Amino acid sequence: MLRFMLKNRKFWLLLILFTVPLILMVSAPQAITLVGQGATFPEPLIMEWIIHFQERYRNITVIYKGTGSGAGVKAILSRTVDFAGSDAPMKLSEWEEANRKFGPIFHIPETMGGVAVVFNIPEVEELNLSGDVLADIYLGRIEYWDDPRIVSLNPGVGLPHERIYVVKRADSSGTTYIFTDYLSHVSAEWASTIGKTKTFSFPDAIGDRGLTGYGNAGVAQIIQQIPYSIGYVEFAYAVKGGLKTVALRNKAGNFVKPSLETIAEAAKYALSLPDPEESWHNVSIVNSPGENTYPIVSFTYILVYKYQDSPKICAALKTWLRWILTEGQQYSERLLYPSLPQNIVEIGLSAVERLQTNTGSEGYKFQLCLIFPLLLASIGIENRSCGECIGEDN
Amino acid sequence: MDPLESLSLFFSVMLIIVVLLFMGSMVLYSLPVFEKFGIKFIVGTEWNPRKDIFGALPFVWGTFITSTIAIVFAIVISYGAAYFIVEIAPPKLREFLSSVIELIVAIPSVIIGLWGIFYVVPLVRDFLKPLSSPLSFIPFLSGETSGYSLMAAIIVLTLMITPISTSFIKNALESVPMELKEAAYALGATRYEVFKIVSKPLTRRAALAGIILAYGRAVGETMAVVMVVGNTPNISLSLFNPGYTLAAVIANEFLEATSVLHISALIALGVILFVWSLVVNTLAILIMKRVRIG
Amino acid sequence: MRPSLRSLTDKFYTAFAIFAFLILIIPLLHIILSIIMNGIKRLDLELITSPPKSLLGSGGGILHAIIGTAMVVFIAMLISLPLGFFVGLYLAEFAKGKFAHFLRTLISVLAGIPSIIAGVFAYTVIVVVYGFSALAGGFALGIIAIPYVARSTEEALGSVPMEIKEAGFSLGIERWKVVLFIDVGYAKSRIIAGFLLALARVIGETAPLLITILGGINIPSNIFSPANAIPLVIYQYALSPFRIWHNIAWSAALLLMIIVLVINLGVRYYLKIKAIY
Repeated sequence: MLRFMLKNRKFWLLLILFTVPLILMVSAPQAITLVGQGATFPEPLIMEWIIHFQERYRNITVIYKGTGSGAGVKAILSRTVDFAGSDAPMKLSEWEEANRKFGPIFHIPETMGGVAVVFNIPEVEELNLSGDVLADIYLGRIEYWDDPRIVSLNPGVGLPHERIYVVKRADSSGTTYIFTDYLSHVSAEWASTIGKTKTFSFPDAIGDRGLTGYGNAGVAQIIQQIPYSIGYVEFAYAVKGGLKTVALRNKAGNFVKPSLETIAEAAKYALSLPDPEESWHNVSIVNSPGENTYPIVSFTYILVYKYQDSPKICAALKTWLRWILTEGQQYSERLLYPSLPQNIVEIGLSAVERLQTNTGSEGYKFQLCLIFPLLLASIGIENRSCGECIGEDN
Repeated sequence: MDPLESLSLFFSVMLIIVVLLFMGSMVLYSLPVFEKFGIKFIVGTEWNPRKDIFGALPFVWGTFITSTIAIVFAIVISYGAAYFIVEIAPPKLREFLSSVIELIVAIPSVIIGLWGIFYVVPLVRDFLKPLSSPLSFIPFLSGETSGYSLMAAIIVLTLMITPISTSFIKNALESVPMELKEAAYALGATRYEVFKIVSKPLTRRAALAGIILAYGRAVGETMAVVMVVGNTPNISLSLFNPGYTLAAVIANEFLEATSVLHISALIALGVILFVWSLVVNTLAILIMKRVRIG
Repeated sequence: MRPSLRSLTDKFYTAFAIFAFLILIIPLLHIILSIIMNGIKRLDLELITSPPKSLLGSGGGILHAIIGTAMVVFIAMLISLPLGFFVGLYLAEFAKGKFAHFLRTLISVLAGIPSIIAGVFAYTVIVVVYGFSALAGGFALGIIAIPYVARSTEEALGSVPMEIKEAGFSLGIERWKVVLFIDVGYAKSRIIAGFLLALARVIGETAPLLITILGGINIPSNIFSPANAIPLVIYQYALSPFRIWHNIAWSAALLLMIIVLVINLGVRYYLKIKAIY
């Protein structure tokens, strides 16, 4: 049979048809992949960055999935990603746990954004609210749109006697964190009951008026579809969704609507930021002073490990992070994110320079970090945390 | 044994090894979550990855309710459509119509999901919900909806599986010997009566096999469902609420699982799904085997 | 004459049957129509020649996904064609009794696996070692394709008339030569048709790819790199909040439908020419 095969022309044709492409596909240069996960807040901007970055650096592939800031932090804590996105800085306890396992985690501000308070009242186009009224709406204290406290802030506006449907995020969200951080600043009761958090449950007073959505996109959709609802979304989602935004009373007493200018104002007041190798859990720029400042503003961060396992990934990360802090910023405003002020960019760049590789090890495969302990666990061996299972023994 | 036989035997054995490896590794990886929750995992009602609490019931329920209602619709529609093709449509059109029905099966499910997002979800939200609001005291039809719901999943599933059972029933009806039907006509039966008295009993087994196969397809369907069902792990009676199925949650959460237990739980759900499909498909084969002899 | 209950039920069932048929056909027509109407907008040269571009512009195309699909399907065929062919050959020509029964059951088991589970298998075997890659995706699709290839090969070889086989034997040709040249030669068109239909079946599979190839924006050149694929990019774009990507999703869907249709109709036509169908 072998002799026949070797003599047959068709056989050789088939062989070439199958093996030549295979050889080409195996020997071609392999791309370096950076995988990130986390906040949906900056997702449209990151998508745009990836497209342009890819055009410039063809051998580095960046993948980012918008799963929410909470999921991003969890991914960083279990080392299943190369970088994560979060609107909320890591909690002190989370940061210290990661520091113990992997070394310092840098918070690199990639952009900033505003959280717009959006509403859907068919009869009303413009709405003023103050921080404490907003807090009371979310605490369930204010039930109807024509509540005297809302009316007094909006003289002449015909507010209807309708129940307020209050929308929040269902998933663990940095956008929620920024929003509740603001509410904690403007309402003592909010600060003492719910505080600043990535996820909270509606107080009982909300009753059946509470709705939840997944991701910024989910909340935007609900506001679009349910009349007399109020919610909070990252500013770009409000504009894209054609949602009406609330003019919020800022620290100076003016009613300000979110816009590129009013959001960017807040960055001027980010006076001191911690060293990259420390925890950033106290960083907040909500309710900043200034006549024209929008009150609900925050940086959004890329979380990345200082100590990298693989030199290739380390170099690729540096290239990516440098690019988004410099060339990437030119795309921000077109997508309705204010570009970062230069001093913030410098802080980020200095952190990027400090990324370094652990000497010796070739590199972990983060998928191995889950399946390998899973295999051990299934045959009864205690599973250990990921940083230990691969890195230190090699 | 000649060289060809040994070569093909080699490949067959390789295949057997691969499949066994497959099944073995799935079971192995699902052990940790069963160790932690025991058999209660299957009936656990809470699925909270952030707290490492896992229970399969929301997905078992979602898969069950969507597939079952879909197959009920499919059975009713299939019989009618097959009857139409075989008995009512002009014979020349028959082949064309069958091809058209089979065309639906060839549409990739992600495309049906795409259509589902932009047409079925708004249909449920803006048409079916208002239409059924006088009936909203029935638990199945209660509640508000964004359109992403069990109902939307049922609609796309019905659309996807009905052609399968229709084809089976149609083929079975076509294979009923003409003499038997003519004998019935000669005795004065109406077209429907011929169907009811002659064709239906004879084709019962083949039809059943087709129905079960269609049900198996519904149980395992991933993409079209995950795009319209709302992806919320709760157990609700209302079809307008969002839900979750076994296949959908695995597709959604697998890449973002951040703990060993989470992946184990997802693979365990995969085992449940696999066993479910296996039972269904084996049933269909057993029934079909009887048909060949009988 | 007064219409009897019997003729009324007959008419009622006829009406019901027409209604049922319409319920089945009308959504199908709506799907096809909406794919065409929505997809024609971006069915242009840019769609198939350009990788994704800025969201502020036209959004670019899906070249990365087209190449990715080609790579993934190639690997899937590389795995499933030899394996499926020889298993089908074995079942049709050589297998006996219990082993044959066992093998056939195994093929049925494989055929009934929900595609997402094939993806999980590929993840635990390939992704864990080589990372997210076109190889992993191709492996998953290959697993899905094997039963289709095996069954159609077995059926094709089973359709060879005994006279042809016997003629070969009577000429003194060895067994394996009869099988390889005469049987396979006779059934060649059907076997190739089976290959093509398996290909058409897996080219639209999405679920296993979701968890094996990662779906980025890069144009893959190496099977160990992550990749994207046409059905996967449809999924990603459909779920995104960007209208530009929604349009591309519809056009990609139209493209995929055209490919699947061409293969299916092509196979039927091919079989008709060979005077088999």
